[in-house]
Amino acid sequence: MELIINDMPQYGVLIHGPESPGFRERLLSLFRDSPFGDPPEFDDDELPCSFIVENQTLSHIVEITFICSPYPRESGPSFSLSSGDSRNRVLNDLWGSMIKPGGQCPWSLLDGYWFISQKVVSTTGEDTRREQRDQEKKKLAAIDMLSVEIDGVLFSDGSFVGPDTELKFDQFEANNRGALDMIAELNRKLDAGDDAFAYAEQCASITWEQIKELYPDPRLYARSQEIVYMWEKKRRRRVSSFNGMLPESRR
Amino acid sequence: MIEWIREKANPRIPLPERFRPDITKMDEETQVRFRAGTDLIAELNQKLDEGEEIFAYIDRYASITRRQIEALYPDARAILPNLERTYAISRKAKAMTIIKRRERFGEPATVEWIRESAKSQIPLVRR
Repeated sequence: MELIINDMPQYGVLIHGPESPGFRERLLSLFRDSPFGDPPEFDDDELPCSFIVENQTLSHIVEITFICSPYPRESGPSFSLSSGDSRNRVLNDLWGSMIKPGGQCPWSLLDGYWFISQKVVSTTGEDTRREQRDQEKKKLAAIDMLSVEIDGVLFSDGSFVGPDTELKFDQFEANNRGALDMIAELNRKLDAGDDAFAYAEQCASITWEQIKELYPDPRLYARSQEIVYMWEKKRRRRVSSFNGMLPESRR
Repeated sequence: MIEWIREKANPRIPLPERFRPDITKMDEETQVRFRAGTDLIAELNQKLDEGEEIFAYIDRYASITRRQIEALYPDARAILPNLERTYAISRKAKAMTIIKRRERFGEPATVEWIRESAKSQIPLVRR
């Protein structure tokens, strides 16, 4: 399988594919000083499923989403990969850092960022995980070419870039607004001399069932043919975008 | 890919006929989705015939934002991610974080943290 990379040099986010010079060495060297310890064990046939994301900006990358589209189309549907890291706090509690300014992060289509699923002890057991990986490998082996395209990047300065076919930006925004509003409300309670913690406890005690009841699944609302038609066309982009990444000679 | 777009335009495979009752009442929607796909292929073929650039056209379609969709379709919420729910979950999560923080670091430290957190609010901006 060959990866066709579509990165965003104009925004300082690069992807180094397995065919880039010195890829293997670069990949291994990233693990030497990483918090994730030793390099993962990977076979040669796993290398083509790997890539490295480089952050050339002055901000941390908080979250990144890729859209992967196989070619030929008959070899499978498009899928998205997305990850963020909230372990290393930067700026404030709202943002974690996934890739530091100037940093690089290795990814595997089989294991995710920093090959993390190889590092985490799975509750489903080693055998099940290996089986799942083998199935995934087989699926990828049937694909001649796979495009890896950045769909969206959220930086620690709050800026967002990318075509955002997944409409992640609005979800980040709603998520961020919810957290900030809660902080603002608690500050107002403190200013007024009210019991802010009683309020926090009240908000924390809302159950998932109550939230679901208040905000039902959107699929339960009536929808017109027009919106379904438009949505389907928007989503079809994945089907058709692949060629835009190929060099002119291979289109 | 252009070859693929050309192939898909002709012949088109029709949706199979239904032999059992439409219990889920999703037939109509399936047909609309199917039509959207075939229409897009037809539009792309037409653009190719006319020697136009198709990938910018596809990108324009794909990059349509939520606000644009909502402005065009009053029932957009029926198909888009539920932002009200995301907001409610985020509030709950933040409240839980504060309760946990109080348990771990005590009340004065948590009050200080709430005060500090309000100072560094980062607005999200699409570039």
